[in-house]
Amino acid sequence: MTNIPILKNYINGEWIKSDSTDIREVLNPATGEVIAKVPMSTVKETEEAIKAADKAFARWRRTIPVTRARYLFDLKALMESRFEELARQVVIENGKVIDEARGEIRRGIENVELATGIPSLMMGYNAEDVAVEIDEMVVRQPMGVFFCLAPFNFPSMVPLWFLPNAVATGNTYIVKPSPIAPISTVKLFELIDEIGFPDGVINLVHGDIDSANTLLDSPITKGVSFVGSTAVGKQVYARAAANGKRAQVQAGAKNFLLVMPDADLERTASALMTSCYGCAGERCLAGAVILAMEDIHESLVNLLVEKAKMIRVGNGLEEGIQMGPVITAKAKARTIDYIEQGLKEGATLLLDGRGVKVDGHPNGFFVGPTIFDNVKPEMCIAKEEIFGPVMSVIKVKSFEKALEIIHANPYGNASSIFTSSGGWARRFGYEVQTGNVGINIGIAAPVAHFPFSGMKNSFFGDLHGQGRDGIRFFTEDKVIITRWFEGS
Amino acid sequence: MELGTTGAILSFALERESEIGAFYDKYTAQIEGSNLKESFENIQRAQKKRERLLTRFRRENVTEMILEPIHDFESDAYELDLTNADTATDDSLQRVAIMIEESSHSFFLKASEKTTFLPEVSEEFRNLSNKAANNIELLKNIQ
Repeated sequence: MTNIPILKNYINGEWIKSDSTDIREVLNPATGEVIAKVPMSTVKETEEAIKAADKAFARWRRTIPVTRARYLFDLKALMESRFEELARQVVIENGKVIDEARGEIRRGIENVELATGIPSLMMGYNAEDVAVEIDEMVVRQPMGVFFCLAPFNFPSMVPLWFLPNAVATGNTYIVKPSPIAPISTVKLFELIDEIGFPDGVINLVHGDIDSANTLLDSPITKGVSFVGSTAVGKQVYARAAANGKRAQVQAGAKNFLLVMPDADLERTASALMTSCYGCAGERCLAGAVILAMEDIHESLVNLLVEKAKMIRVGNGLEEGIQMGPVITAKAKARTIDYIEQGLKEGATLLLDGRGVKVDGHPNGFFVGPTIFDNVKPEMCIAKEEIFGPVMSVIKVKSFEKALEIIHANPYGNASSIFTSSGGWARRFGYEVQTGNVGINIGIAAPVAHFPFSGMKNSFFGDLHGQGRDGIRFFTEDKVIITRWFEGS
Repeated sequence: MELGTTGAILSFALERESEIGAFYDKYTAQIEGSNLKESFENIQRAQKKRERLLTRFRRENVTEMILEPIHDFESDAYELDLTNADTATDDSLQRVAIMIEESSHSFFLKASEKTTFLPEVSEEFRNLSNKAANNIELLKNIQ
């Protein structure tokens, strides 16, 4: 245990050891081994990060956008050159499989790439002669210090949903990673340090509730980007609003996937595997409930069971492993509780992931692919976010009934339809009340130049992360109306 | 080893390329003034390009949206062991090179069949398989 490193904060361009006595262990979910220790930074340390970011803002906002973008070009280049190293780190602390981690790093890089276009992206607009000899223009200006409270499930990508746009637009930034998976963010900051961003422009503070509340209550910070559970998200949103801050809060989910009778069942079943079992179900876009139309219900379920049985569960660092562990022993216990609850409520357990064993990994937090059939919409497993590899199948009689079930759920993050009919696809896209919609896509994950949407209890705020929303969130429109007197 | 994911296929492909690259690097330098040398030089150049392409594909084409599991694709049939290959003469080098290219041809073809859910990757694997087939023809026609 003596060689386990204690992670440092990165404040004002320096790696600083925390004085906190509250130190937690970071575990490798595949092995249960302690891989790092992370301090829950003190209020004072968090305030120091805020002060550093605030001090850096005055100069950074005057740094021309092209120059700011060049720092991000450097970040992209470094991320590309360390791609495999960054992906492997995500696997080690999060447990997802190496391909999923590669996908995560790629998504992070895409956001950096988007932000390199900031000289164009943050342009305002203008008009001559809005009144006689009076012109008017809108400029988009940075606001100051922003921060993000990041989750464990995408420890590298989620900070990069926000950080590049924030700093490219001229703001300064603080990242508070999840204390469960903070190392990938540290790796990212090692690159940030290597590039040599000006001191205080980007800062890292480890911690939990106290750090988050310090950031939320500070009169200096201007806005928060949060990704996590709905329960915590609501508190973050309320606290940010009470303190007059901007907030984009991406919260929990329960995602429904509708399979129509005319769907290509073989390809649909494969897509449902990656949707429900990718990242061991620990994605806010993960498929959770399959709404199978009566005509194809039986054949679909048979295919799903056949394919899910073949999924290789293990340590995500091994190439070819198709599903890793869940994040903690607690997450494993929670998933198993849900499986037991499903049984109690009368669902039919077709595939049971509770007893899965992985050779050489007796202490890993593994749960195998699990499938319930004959699930009813009122059951807990159909309503609540499990965040584990559990698929629930509900047989539905009509498209309308399927929409009714989706809409009765309080979440509205994502949904998908599998069909070969353009008519059904269009109607689904038009009517369904979720922020992200897949048409024959199991994971409807918006790319960097589109907003990561969300509705109902899955999103609180006005402007989403990524895309044009992501630029607007970090800038304030200022209208300048101009008249020049003749001869002046 | 079962190549159960796109990344596993690409990583295995890169391992093969590392061996193939070492082979062509070593013997292209050794062969003197023959048609075989010219062919080896061409294949060596193409191999470097292929290695860069596969590395790029592993970085850029493993997308979060589509990561479907792959089954029934074992690496064993495509593993290369060139340590004991007979490389004493130009003829034997030519035979080894043909064997490598035949193995690459079938490997990339199978990889293409297994990754149809990622069309760009699948098409590129097919393209590499075709190029390996061209190399086989080239090598067989050396006088």
